Amino acid sequence: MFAHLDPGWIMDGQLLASQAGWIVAAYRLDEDQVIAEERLWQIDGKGELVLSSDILTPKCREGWNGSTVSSDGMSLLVACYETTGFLDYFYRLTRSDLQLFNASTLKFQGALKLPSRQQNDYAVWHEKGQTVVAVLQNGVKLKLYRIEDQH
Amino acid sequence: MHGRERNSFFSMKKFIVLLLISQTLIAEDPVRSKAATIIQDQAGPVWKTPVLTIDLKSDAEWKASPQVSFDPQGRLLVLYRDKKKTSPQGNWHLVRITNPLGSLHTRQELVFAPAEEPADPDRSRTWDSTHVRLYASDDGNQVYAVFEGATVTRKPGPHAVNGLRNVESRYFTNAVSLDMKSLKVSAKRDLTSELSYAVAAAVDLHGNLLVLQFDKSSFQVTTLSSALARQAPAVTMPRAGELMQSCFLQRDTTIQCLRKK
Repeated sequence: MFAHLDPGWIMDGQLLASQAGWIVAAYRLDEDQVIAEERLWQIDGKGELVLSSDILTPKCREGWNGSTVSSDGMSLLVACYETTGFLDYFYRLTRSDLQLFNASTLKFQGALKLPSRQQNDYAVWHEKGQTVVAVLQNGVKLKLYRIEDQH
Repeated sequence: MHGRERNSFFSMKKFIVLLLISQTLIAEDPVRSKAATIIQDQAGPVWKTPVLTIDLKSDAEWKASPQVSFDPQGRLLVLYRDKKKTSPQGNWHLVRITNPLGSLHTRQELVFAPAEEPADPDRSRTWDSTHVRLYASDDGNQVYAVFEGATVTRKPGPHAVNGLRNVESRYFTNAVSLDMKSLKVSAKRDLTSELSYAVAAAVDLHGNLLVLQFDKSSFQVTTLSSALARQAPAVTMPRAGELMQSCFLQRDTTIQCLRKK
């Protein structure tokens, strides 16, 4: 499929399947080629735009990315990673944020700031009106967050 | 080294140390962190306290990208490589936690080794180009771990040529099929020649692993049984020559791709 987004929007990251359609993140650049704004876009199987989210805030210098959707297609996690480089050789992670969206309505549900000094992986599960986000830190500790659906 | 040069060298060193310390303080201090402040301005909750923390008591090799996922039954799967203990079964651990938020969560563990692991003469780079992905069947009883990585070896001659390491790399893909009912390895196999450049994978309703590849003219979906035996014939579909940005393979072998302009 070819997704028909508004002119000037550039798709970023992977295509994710939700209960209501396909989701992809896209951004628009300003004249300095810096990300000016970003949204989540929901498209149907023919690539037609069904819905777009509000502008994603706070801005992510390296772009928000749709990361994972719960297996029932209801909860969507998007992630922002930012790094700081030194002498164009040493890079370190300075920001690692997650945001939870309702994958059907693309409404923001909540945010989670992860420690940038650890290596994190995460997963999402949705069932019975609540989302569980699991964060694995350095492969050693598993932290579980529970979030009630917001309507 | 002259005194003046040494002084400027030490000043530079001091500057770098101060810069790193200040960046660490800015990144870690939730009050001073700009990102943290803005997030608190968001219309919506900010979760700070987990409802549960589970100490896995693991010696995970963090460079080997430990990962977590939920299987389709809501059980947590944690995959990591142990950096200290070596057992005859291998160094990779797949931990399954059932009923993770319940008062009585249960933990099961399977230890295994893939058909091949990455290697590099510079050990700090061993895991740089390695990807491991887990795919679980609907009932969660069959899990596939697909490993992609490189074995890097030094070429004869100088250590570096034109500033680049004088090495050659060989890329591999292999899969391990894990029976999560009996907590045993069902099969493992090198799939480099068959499944290189795979772009997506899924598990079908029968618990087989589906792998999507494409070339200039067609898509191909290869089906591998839990014994990692190829189920013939592979499904081939024509495609136009557009560049693909992202592809998603569904369990019924439907393919959705975003095309680049």
